Amino acid sequence: MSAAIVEARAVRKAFGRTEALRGTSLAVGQGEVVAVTGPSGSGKSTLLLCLAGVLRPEAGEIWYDGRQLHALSEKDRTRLRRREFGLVLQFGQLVPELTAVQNVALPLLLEKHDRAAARTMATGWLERLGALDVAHALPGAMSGGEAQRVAIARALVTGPRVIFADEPTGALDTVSGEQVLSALLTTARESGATVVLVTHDNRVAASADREVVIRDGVVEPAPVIR
Amino acid sequence: MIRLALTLSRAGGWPRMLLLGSCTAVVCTLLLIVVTFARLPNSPDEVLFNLVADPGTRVGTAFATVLLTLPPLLLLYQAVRLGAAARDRRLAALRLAGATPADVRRLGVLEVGIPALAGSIAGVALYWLLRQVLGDNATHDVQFESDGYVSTYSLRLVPTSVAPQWWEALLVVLGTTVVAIAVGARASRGVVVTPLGVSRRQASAPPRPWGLLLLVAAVLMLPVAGTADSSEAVPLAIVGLAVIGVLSLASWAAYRTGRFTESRTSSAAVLLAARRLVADSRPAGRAAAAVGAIALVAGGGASLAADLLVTENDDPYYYISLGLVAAALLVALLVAIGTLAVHSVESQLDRKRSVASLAALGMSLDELESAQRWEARLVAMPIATFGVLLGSATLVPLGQLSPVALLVLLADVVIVLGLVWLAIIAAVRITRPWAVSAASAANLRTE
Repeated sequence: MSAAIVEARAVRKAFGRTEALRGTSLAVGQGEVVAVTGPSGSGKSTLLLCLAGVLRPEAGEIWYDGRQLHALSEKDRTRLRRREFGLVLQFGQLVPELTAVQNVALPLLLEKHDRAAARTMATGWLERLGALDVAHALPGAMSGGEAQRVAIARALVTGPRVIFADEPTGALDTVSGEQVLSALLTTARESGATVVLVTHDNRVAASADREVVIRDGVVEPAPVIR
Repeated sequence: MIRLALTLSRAGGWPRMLLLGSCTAVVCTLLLIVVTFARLPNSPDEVLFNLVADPGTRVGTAFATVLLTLPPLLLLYQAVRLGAAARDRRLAALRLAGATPADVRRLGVLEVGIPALAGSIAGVALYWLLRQVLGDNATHDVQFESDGYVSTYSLRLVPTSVAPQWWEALLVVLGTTVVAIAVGARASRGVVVTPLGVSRRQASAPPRPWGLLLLVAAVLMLPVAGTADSSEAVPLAIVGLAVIGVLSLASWAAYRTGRFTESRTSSAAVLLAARRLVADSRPAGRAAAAVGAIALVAGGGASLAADLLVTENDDPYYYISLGLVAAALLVALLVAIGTLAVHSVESQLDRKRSVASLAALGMSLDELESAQRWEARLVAMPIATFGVLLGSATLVPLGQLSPVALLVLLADVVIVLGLVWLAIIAAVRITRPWAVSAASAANLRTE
């Protein structure tokens, strides 16, 4: 593994009385694709959201590219997520009122890009991911696979260094799931982005460089090396 | 059934029940005041402000009081929709437990009806309180001195020598409750509750500018109002048509503004706001509708003020009357802030998954709030501008287009639009706790 770009060190996170992470540690190298697997409720998504700076752990440290992510202010973490991270969630979570091209252009507009330039880039990414047909469709009119492709385009459009994907194929049928996963990993590897992928699907995990199993909020000591 | 409805109401939260009750209380109070005006003889046995005492202007005052019920009714509409998604889930769970569609409809009626009835009864108490506050002769006189003469004006606005009969009060209480239930039923229209969940029939077509027809009718009636033998009902009908016309135009204005803006903005917040309006302009339109009506009346009032200044009419009666109108408009604007705030909360609760994902993607809370503000601005500012300019056009038939008059109107436009701008900032600001809650990462995983 190359030098870690994102790392969790002894992270603890609880929701009320439920302790989701109990001193979890994980280091992910630059350009690496890591699958985080484990049973439901094991803390996979919580770990992903902590690594992405969406959740702040109660104890432990989150490091990103030599910076202490957990110590940054909410404003700085938000800015970092916008510029350096891409996020893909289980149900896509596209903005339902925006068309596909507007959804993909949104992160660029947040970064104050010109409307026309943002639109051109968004259209380019939709084409690259085979979702150009739905460019002007609303998420409600798309299939699950199409919505996930648009969500991946939205995650990649800013050229992120790390992509966090939480069950990106969880709501899709087998064929759509494989297509979406292939699109995500191919484009991420082409751009040299690091991918942290949460899944409970063994086939999805098998396509990663490394699989990490998490159980009861702790990473199991012997991760499978591929 | 009543116990279950009460439980459901409590589950919807005390703020929602309190809002429903408060709105019906205000409406009931205003209607009781109108009934009191109606019971007043031509020569009242008490000293009242001329607008109420003079039978010629009393009808207009009563009409204006009825118009004042519109902002709280619009707020009530928004309050019924508040937390609709959670309420729908509760009703779907009841259907799963064996409740029939008729049971669910009855529960919906009771859920709004119980707080509305309580609010209406509280409205009777509020009416008696207002009789004391606004009907106390000793503390509400103002004196003016001009050319050595002292003129005294009573500011008593609510008569105390007469009161509604018990059956009239009962009718008002029940009538207000029925109106609240009807407004609630309209707010839940298109919702189909099944044991497996809730579906909403989306409005298929964008809103149409039917309100323009009412405004055209109002304009066509203007020449009739100017004739010497016209009924006093004509100006009231014109005002009524204009107010309802502006209210009806709000959703269409919201849709058109959204369409116009979405293809021209480079701002993420403005794009979000514009697209939300295009997707469903009716809730935002209704929330901002009162602002348009307030601006319309403010424009009309400013026209009259300009006319008084130009003709050097220094009769304090007119200035006090305009001052009272301004006070009523400010109260109405406060209610409108409440309506905009409730819409903002409703909007965030309904979209919490989308809002949470935007926050996770890197949209800050300030930017999310900015989108909320723009959603209100894109509706309220155009409709307020249209309203205030339309109201100001009253000056044209008065024939006083002097520089002073135009300056008064310009000042009015600036003040009205400035107040609406501030009202929107206030409305979104007070809903920040809901914005924080909607942006929480916990909403990312909720179905």
